[in-house]
Amino acid sequence: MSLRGRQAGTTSLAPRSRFLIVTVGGTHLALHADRVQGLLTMEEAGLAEALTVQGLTYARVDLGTPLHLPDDSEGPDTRVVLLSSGSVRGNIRVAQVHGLKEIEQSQVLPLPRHFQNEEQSWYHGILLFEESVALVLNPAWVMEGCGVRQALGTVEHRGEPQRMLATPRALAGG
Amino acid sequence: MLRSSLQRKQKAGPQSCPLLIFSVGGRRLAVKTDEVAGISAWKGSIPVPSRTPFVSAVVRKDKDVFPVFDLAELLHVTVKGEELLCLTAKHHRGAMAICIDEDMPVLHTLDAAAIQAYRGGEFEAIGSFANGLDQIPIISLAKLGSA
Repeated sequence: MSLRGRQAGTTSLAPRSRFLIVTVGGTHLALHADRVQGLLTMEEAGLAEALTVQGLTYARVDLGTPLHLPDDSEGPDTRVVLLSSGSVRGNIRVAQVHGLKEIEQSQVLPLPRHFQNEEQSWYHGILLFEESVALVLNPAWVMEGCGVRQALGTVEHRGEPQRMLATPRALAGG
Repeated sequence: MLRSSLQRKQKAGPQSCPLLIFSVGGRRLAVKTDEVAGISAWKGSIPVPSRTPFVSAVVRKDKDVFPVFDLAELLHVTVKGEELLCLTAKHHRGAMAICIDEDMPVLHTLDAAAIQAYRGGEFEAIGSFANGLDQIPIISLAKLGSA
């Protein structure tokens, strides 16, 4: 192996994670990218609580209420993020999508131990984002919300949106 | 020889307690200096939705993130000043930031014998001391929010 070859291979082998960074109620949130199935514009998503995309139903997950975040999901940059975890699927409305961020898993900072209440189950940690931070949402907690709704049978169905706006793979290139 | 030097030490002057006096919403408070990691300019906080009383934000300092303890909320006051300060406290769960008034904190050395009991119950206090007409509580930063 040449020295040049060694230099070329300086990329860290540390485990990496990808997150979709969004804003809800003025707070940056990081969603595990492997749970993101796609993004829709509000025009594509419509006003229905539950969305059916390619035959799969995504129940509405309201993050604003449990997190006490102001509802800002009516702006021009509002998007609907489709999430799935196994057979559980949900959609969340976000005020803005910032794109994908790939970091080493060690760069996800733990939630400080001073946060002693149920927020410990809301977040997987904190990551640095621009001049601020993004809160890494615990996907199990997020999907718990839509799991309950699906179990209660309150899912509304609507026609399939015309197309997927973007997938995480597409976002990574942009 | 050893005994005499020990005796001399025991007879030495009163035990002193180094304090830092600062204010939050105009209310003066003191802390032991060994519970303070630093004082810096307050550059704003980042809200973190939370159910923990008085802990619902963080501050970012370069690549470090510290939780914020809202002492002003605990005291039912609003911090005063245009250029607020950040007191970084040593807490048993790790360092945390506290927003304090813009008045520059002052160091004060107190005779430990002058420490009196503090009767207010809104926070864990080591005691209090008289300063002019004021009775200044000595807050325990290490135990703040633990009650």
